[in-house]
Amino acid sequence: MRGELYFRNTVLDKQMDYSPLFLSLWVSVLATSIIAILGTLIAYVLARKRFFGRTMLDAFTTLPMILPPTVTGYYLIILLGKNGIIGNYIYKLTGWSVMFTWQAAVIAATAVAIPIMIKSAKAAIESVDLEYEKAAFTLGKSEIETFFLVTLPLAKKGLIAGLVLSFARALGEFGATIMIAGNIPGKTSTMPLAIYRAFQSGEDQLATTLVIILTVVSIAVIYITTRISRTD
Amino acid sequence: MKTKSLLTIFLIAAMIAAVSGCLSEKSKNTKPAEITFSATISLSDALKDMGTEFQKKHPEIKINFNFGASGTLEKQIEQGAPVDMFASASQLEMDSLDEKGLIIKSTRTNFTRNKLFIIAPSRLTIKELKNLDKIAIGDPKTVPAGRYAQTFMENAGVYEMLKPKLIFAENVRQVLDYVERGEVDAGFVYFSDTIKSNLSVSPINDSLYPPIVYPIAIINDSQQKAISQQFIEYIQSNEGRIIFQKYGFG
Repeated sequence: MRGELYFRNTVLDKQMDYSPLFLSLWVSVLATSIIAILGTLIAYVLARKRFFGRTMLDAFTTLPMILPPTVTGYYLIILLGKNGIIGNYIYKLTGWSVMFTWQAAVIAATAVAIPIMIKSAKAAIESVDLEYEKAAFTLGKSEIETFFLVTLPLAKKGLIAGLVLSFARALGEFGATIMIAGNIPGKTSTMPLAIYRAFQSGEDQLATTLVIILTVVSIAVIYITTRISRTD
Repeated sequence: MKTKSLLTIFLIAAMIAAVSGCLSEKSKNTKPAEITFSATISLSDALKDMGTEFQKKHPEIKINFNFGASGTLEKQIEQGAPVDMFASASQLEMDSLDEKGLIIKSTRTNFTRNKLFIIAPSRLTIKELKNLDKIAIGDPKTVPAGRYAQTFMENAGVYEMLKPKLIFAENVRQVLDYVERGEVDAGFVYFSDTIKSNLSVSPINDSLYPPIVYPIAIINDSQQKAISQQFIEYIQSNEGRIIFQKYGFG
């Protein structure tokens, strides 16, 4: 029977666990993909459309960037927790709750990073001369065709910049993630959370290793994407 | 021009307020001596009561409590947090501080005990745990309650089966919170945490985990060693023991 010794050894790490790295990459890539589509869409609507509630939408989608991440996390729990406004219906229908899942980590990362993309994309789209879009219309192109053939290519640099910043923000997300996804090793313990956990339990060597990995990965990503957006 | 003079008046008024605030404070002689006590969060209700009673008897002393998971508090002290006393829910954290020469060994003493229980909306046996979706325990790396729970599960032969269901919380009170909010189906908490809850409490075989004994000690760098010792003596007095019993300790 395992007694005091087992009790003490449960604190010690047996071997290096790389799951936080894979989890972080998976969560961040997924979040950035969602942001690429949803963020650009919202940015286009805000840049090119005039409608009732436009300023409200703009303010509302900027909010997660201004609010402290733990506050955003709190609201996400009110919305998606097991007894949450939307969460309780999902639970009643499927018996599943998003709390403490990797999907929650993706939602948290998306929520805090999307305002960055929306701001960048909106500025990039607004900088595209309307004359080009109008010219496309007169040539018979639909709005969707114009968006993909004219607006998007011209706004490319700003959009890529927005995506890079969003990815970086998603990768470094901590506050909202730890609240709605928890810090469960192998499931939701992304790099920032794993670093925090290692530091808290006095595993300074593990913490340092994770910090170095995260720094190198972040620098590599920023470098590669900066080069890509520069070669044209 | 008018804005400029308004601003000047405002700044002068603010400075006067700040300075007069300093002047009106009591002189050094009548200022209460303060001690900071980092204690495991499971002790929070009992210690707050004891702090109130102690301060009634000693109005010249003020006790500031810093509650959290034992591992988190230990880490803070190692990083140099200006704390006078420390109490944890297992010997491990205290040993760690002892090894690093951060506590006054002669002041280290055990002062109370606890037991581990399962808390859930309804009564559960160990066998029934496997039917649940999510079970919360404190993170074994920083929370003694989580380590006790893991040791228990290992010895009961259910750890491998329950491991995928485990949700780690930052401290034992967060475990309680998760269960009460329904985010998880059950949790492992101390008996003392179940006192104020309306949920069902299920006992577990206490020979399957090490005895839960709380140590306390004065931190080496404390500037208030005598007062800290006074409070330790109060905690161990009859009054202290009655308060502990009231909150489910012992």
